[in-house]
Amino acid sequence: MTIDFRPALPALIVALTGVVALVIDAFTPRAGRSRTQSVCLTGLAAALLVTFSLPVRIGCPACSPLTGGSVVSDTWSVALQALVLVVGMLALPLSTAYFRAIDQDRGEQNALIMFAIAGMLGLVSSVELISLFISLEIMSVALYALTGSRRARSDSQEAALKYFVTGAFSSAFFLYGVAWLYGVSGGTTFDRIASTLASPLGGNVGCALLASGFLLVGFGFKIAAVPFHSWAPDAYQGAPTSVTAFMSTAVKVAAFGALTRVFHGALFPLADRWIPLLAALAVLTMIVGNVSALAQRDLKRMLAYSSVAHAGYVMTALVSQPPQAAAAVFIYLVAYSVTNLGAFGVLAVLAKDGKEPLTLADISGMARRRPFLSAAMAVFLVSLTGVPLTAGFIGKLRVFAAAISADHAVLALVGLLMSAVSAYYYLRVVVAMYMEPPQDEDRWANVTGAAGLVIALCALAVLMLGVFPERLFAWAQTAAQTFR
Amino acid sequence: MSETLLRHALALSLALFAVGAVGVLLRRNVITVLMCIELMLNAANLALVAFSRSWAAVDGHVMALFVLTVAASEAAVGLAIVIALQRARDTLDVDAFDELRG
Amino acid sequence: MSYLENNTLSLLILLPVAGALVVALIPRERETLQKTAALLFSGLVFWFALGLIRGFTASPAMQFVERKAWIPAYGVSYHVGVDGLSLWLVALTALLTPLALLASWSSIDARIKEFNVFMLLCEAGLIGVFCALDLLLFYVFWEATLIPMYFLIGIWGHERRIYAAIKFFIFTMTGSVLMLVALLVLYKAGGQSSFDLTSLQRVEIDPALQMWLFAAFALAFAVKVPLFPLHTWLPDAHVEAPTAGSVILAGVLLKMGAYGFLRLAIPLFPHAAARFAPWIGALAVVGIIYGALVCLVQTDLKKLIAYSSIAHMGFVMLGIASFTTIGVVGAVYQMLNHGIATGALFIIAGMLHDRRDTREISEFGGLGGVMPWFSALFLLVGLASIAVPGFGGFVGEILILVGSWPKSPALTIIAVLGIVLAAGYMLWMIERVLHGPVKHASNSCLRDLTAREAFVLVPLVVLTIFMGVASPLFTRKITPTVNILVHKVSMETRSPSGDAR
Repeated sequence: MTIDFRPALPALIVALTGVVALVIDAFTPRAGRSRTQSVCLTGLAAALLVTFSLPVRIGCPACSPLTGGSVVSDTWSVALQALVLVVGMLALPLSTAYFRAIDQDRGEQNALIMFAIAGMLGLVSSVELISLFISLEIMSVALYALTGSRRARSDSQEAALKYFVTGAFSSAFFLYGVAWLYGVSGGTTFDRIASTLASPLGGNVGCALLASGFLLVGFGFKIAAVPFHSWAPDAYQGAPTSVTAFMSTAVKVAAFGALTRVFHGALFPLADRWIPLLAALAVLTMIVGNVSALAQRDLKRMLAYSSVAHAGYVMTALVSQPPQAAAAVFIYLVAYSVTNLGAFGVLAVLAKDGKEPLTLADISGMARRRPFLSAAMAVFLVSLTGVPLTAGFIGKLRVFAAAISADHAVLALVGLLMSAVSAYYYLRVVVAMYMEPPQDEDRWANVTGAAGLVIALCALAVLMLGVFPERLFAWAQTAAQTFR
Repeated sequence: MSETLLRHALALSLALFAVGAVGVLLRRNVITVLMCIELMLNAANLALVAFSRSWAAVDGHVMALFVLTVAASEAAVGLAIVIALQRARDTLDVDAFDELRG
Repeated sequence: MSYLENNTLSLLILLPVAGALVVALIPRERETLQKTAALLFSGLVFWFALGLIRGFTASPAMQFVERKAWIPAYGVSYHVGVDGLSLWLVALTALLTPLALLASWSSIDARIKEFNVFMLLCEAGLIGVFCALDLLLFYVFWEATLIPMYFLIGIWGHERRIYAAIKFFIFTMTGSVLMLVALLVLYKAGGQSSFDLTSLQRVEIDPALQMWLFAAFALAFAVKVPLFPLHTWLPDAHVEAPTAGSVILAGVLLKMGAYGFLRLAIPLFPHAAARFAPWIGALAVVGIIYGALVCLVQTDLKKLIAYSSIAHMGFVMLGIASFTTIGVVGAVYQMLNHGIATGALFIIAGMLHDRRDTREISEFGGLGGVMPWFSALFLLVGLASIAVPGFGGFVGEILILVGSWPKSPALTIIAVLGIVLAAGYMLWMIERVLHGPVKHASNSCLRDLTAREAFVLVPLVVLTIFMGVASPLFTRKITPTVNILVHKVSMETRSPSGDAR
């Protein structure tokens, strides 16, 4: 009996890098600065290399989970793992810059990011419930700690507690769904579950639906879909900004990657039952997310509600048929990740002497003092609004085209009207930066080095993907092959 | 495992889960909330073990072991956060944690 | 040279973008160089636009067509071309941009670099809208004009600029997202293979669905025109925008809406268009009367011109809704006239604002004696705007009225009333500004036109007179395309099912 560990290699490499980073920081004299950034970047790059060099669809889906086959390397996992790794590589320099600005660069946040990424890699490549749950927990536990990593600040701790309580609560729901799904199908692999659900279920159909409902609630918390979103604004606002940047992008990528695989893979035979529910949640999420964002004064909180709304847009894609839905989800996740990472990243890199811009007044007139950074921020905001020639438009186009092709034009209508609403709060930031007089003194950091490069790369990616989306479409096509 | 026993086990599991969930939503002390979450996880464990017996397979048992481990690590991080917050605010009442709002 | 001839339209779209890049690279202190470069590039665009007019033959065919795959997986192509509908609008854009830049040569004194960049980007977007023959490309350009105009209003506008800019953005964006939904539904109905206009025109659409899709497109375009009661963004945006912004807004941006009806909404959904035509005509006439009545009580010069735009665009929509060749040709012609006359009026209002820093009509009076040359041009432009015979506007409005008479005499008569009202508000405004004694001491020593200002205004005045006496030169190139369009709609209305093909 051989066990093929190769599909788990990327996650193992990343986790090991995290351990190495911890050890290095423990044994080197610290002057308030961690040296592990380059180690972590190398680890992520190595994992990325391995991800692409693995033969696709190896592993053994039919085997029992004890003997392997719980994680696979198929087109979907490769695409999503690559996305998570790239987001991680972009987030690390932001994180270092931010933690140095608040004088808390102790290195442990790098290790925690590594552990979270390891969990995410497992999450998107799991084809079996036990490994899915464990990956989810590896990711979540690391993120709870990351959220609270600004130890001197009680708001960071409060955010961590709120994130932790709701996260653990949702994990319990998720696990309970897993348990019932196992009870119905007698196995934990997605293939087994799908084939059980496709056969006549008799009296068990109620149990299967109950299980799907629990899973949906669990995922709903992780992706911050309304009505399971209430933790997100608090956690995003209180967490260190660079952690928020990472959390609001990578977690969504991983959670949607797994959600797509579970609902369009394992639970697809029940699609008729859960699609209306998902559609309703999507509508609710888009409306509540955007309308709540209108009222926010805190920039991070506003962006938090905006990312709730964006989860709604992605859910819209899931009502269509598998290959198309998966392709649209992937395209949106790529577009959203680079954009949102950039937007939170701009806020993070401006931090200086433990302070950072929190409100519109803090960044008013920024265009005069930081023309490039402001231009980048404007690009991100325009992309979040979904204006053409940016990645955000391409994402929305694909997502809503998918909904319309599945005859859910109402979803597209609500989504696009809500995009028009969102223009209001995104534009307020542009107004503050470009149309209002600058503050008396320049309180924010000058952006240089790796963090500046990351922002530039994100802005460039947003524009390139917006103008020449052909390559992205081809990737998505390939990634979605798993769902045929 | 007989059909009746499975039913009883599942009924108990559902009841535990419900008690846990209601407790998380209603109780105000953070420690109690954490204990309620543990209750929910153990309800899931009970269901897993019961299902595992009824399928005459080991997957569910294995999974329950994993869940115990995960719950322990989760509790470790959770309690660390609670202690940090308790030091800062000198209270364990969840309603007192209202610094973050829009 | 043949490469240029084969790619004229791409050149027209890309030249302003290149100009914007060049301006962006010029050091911040070299302000005159930035202005000169922007003017040079927009002048070059105008030069190529003249070549476009020369090379255009009076036939219904699409000319200067270019087609390259853009997103082949999705059936999106970079497909551009001009016909009788778009030719003159492209030329109008190319004409007004350099003039607008010249008009605000000295009145824009802050962040000159960004101003020129946004003006050039706006020009590129506008020309793109008028040339695009692929629906997604059209949508991209449509939205692309939004961003630079938003900044133009928001940064360089007057007191309430931020409110106006956001209102403008949200109104237009709401309209255009409806269009996007309809576009995607249409794409699905067409078999999800192509966004190309010509292939989507061949798609057979269920009449009930056609109504919904037309309504969505029409809403997007009606906001832009603007058709009563979707006009409320217009007075704010026009009044608060800087002169150059107002000129481009009134001169070209509003035409995007009417053009959208002619290029997309009507050919794609002729059956629904015919059904909605009476309603559009009625709203157009309401707009004519409403705009004119509001003009009568305005005390703010720019607001008056803004509301007169609503009335004038009402005429354009009345002509379009008639679905007669004469009426539609008149509508297209009227778009040009309105662009030139209203553009000139906003430039004049800007000149007064530069001198006195106010837009209140009551602040002026007796300027005729102080600034004779300025007053003469002002009078001519005012007359052109209210369609006095001899000016282009007269030809346009007569064609529209003649075209719409057989379809709905009642609406036509009310529209004529609108002309009378227009004469009333415009002449009264001119009287209050130019005639009578000089009431305010600060008006007594105002400078007359500078050479630069004369260079901006005179071509526009000459052009509007030329368009009044030599209209066949223009309509000759418009008519063949309009004939096809009108024929298509009349075919649809005759067949009961709406599917004549």
